[in-house]
Amino acid sequence: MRRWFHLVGVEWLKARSLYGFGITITAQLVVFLVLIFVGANFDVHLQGVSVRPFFEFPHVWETFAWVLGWLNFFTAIGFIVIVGSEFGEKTFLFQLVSGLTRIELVVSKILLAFVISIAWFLVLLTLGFAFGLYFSPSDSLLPLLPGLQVFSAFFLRTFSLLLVAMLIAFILRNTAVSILVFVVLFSLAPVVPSIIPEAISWMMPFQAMQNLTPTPDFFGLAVLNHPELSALKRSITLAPPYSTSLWLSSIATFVYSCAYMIAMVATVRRRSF
Amino acid sequence: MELDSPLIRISHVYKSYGAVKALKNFSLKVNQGEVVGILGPNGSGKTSALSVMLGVTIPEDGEVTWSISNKRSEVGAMLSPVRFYPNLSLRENLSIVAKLKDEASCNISSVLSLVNLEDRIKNKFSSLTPGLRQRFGLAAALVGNPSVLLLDEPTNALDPEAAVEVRVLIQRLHAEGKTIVMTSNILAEIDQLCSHVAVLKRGRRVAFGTKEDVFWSQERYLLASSNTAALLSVFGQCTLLKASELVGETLAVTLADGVAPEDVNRFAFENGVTLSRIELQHASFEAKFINLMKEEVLK
Repeated sequence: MRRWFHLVGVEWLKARSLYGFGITITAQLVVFLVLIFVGANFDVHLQGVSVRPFFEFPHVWETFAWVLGWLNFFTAIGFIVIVGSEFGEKTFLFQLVSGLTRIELVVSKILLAFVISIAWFLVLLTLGFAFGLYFSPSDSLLPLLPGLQVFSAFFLRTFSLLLVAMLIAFILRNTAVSILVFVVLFSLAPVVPSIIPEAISWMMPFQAMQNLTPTPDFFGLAVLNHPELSALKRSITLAPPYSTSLWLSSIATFVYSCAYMIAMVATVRRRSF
Repeated sequence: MELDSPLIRISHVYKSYGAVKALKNFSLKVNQGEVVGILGPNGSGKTSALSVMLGVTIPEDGEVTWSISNKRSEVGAMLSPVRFYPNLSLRENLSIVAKLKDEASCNISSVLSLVNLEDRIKNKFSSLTPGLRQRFGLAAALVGNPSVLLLDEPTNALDPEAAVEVRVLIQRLHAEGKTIVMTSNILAEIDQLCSHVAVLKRGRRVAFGTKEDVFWSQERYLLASSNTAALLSVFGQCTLLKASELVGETLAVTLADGVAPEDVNRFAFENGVTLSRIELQHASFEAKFINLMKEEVLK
């Protein structure tokens, strides 16, 4: 166990020395903060229509998880930079020479992805809680927290995306090419449902990941306090935040994540450095 | 550690990089306490041999076995070119090595002082010159005081003074009982530091043994007679010789294994040729090496 802590410490030391990684993490945080602060101050000049419900409990969790889920793209690029630079600088070689095993080489990166996923989860929790407290009417603070699924789903989505990014970098060994491939895959993911039947598309890797933190019903939430539209949309807000496919998406993403990890180990195991 | 078994045994290893065959049927045994030099021209497979030993390069065929239980803490290595994290300081880079070796309590300053880099402990690795990087690589190999060192061209890119310091350090480490495998292009360095030598040519081992075995067996004798034609005739097909070459009026010969100069003299006399001179040719180390490269004697 002590060794795993050492390995995470080593990974963090290396990661923070990479400007590319620092920039991507900072970019994600800054863009997230800008989006939520601008969004929270967005004023709709229409009676009864407001963005406030996006930031009220319990909807704030869905809103933030969805936004941050997409912004994880930045951190994923950061992880490609981490793995790509190890190949570029030939520092994997130095680590293997210094006593790191091939499996540890992969596991230490996976542990870093795990830690970073937890960090984003904490960002979601902290900012969601702060915004929820600020925007929620004092008489409707409950339910303050949604079911645990919103947090576990966000964590799984983040972790899985980082694993995909690392797997691409481990296979291609080149930062620029890996980023290009990742961007293409990430961009194509939203198009998949329109070309593949939904019965199949939901289980595609990126689609399953995105289903974990689905797009909130922004329109339904915006008109929540509209005198006429609210009645029509009440059913939406009373509906559970997730469809039953959440569990299937979770299982699919979990299975994919395991496959990514196995694939990374297999890639590294027979490779000469 | 098992007794009577070599510390490292490499058996019939093959490794290619595309069309380039880096190692062809390469075998080597390293016993505890030896300093084995792997010698060969550029591109002969020296670094590949070390990489295979370390397990960072996976051979297509063959086997590498170590007879030590904790390779992580017992083995220190340096491969050229020396690569570390460019944006981290020397202290941070060495702390990574220490943690990877489970030697987190290692005194980094004292390790750096072994290679006279203690005053640069806060410098980034990227700020070091090639020579300083080489010295730092050696320091990294020494983290945790390992009993086995694998060093790839340890004095490469060093200025003469630093090269001498590193050679003295290697001699000191050997005197402490460490087993060292090193590669080098510098024949004098191998001659000075190593107890055993493996000579590589295009990935193939062309000689291996103690330094004396490898290079004394390559000694040439100059044979002279008043009748050069008879000399050539008698020794043209002689089984006592491994190789012969006419040099001016003399015949330069390499004796077959187990053959003494007296045997050659007797053979000449019995065949009606009186040798006026049998002279050991004190070839330079370089000349012997070049001769080995020409002969491709597979031992």
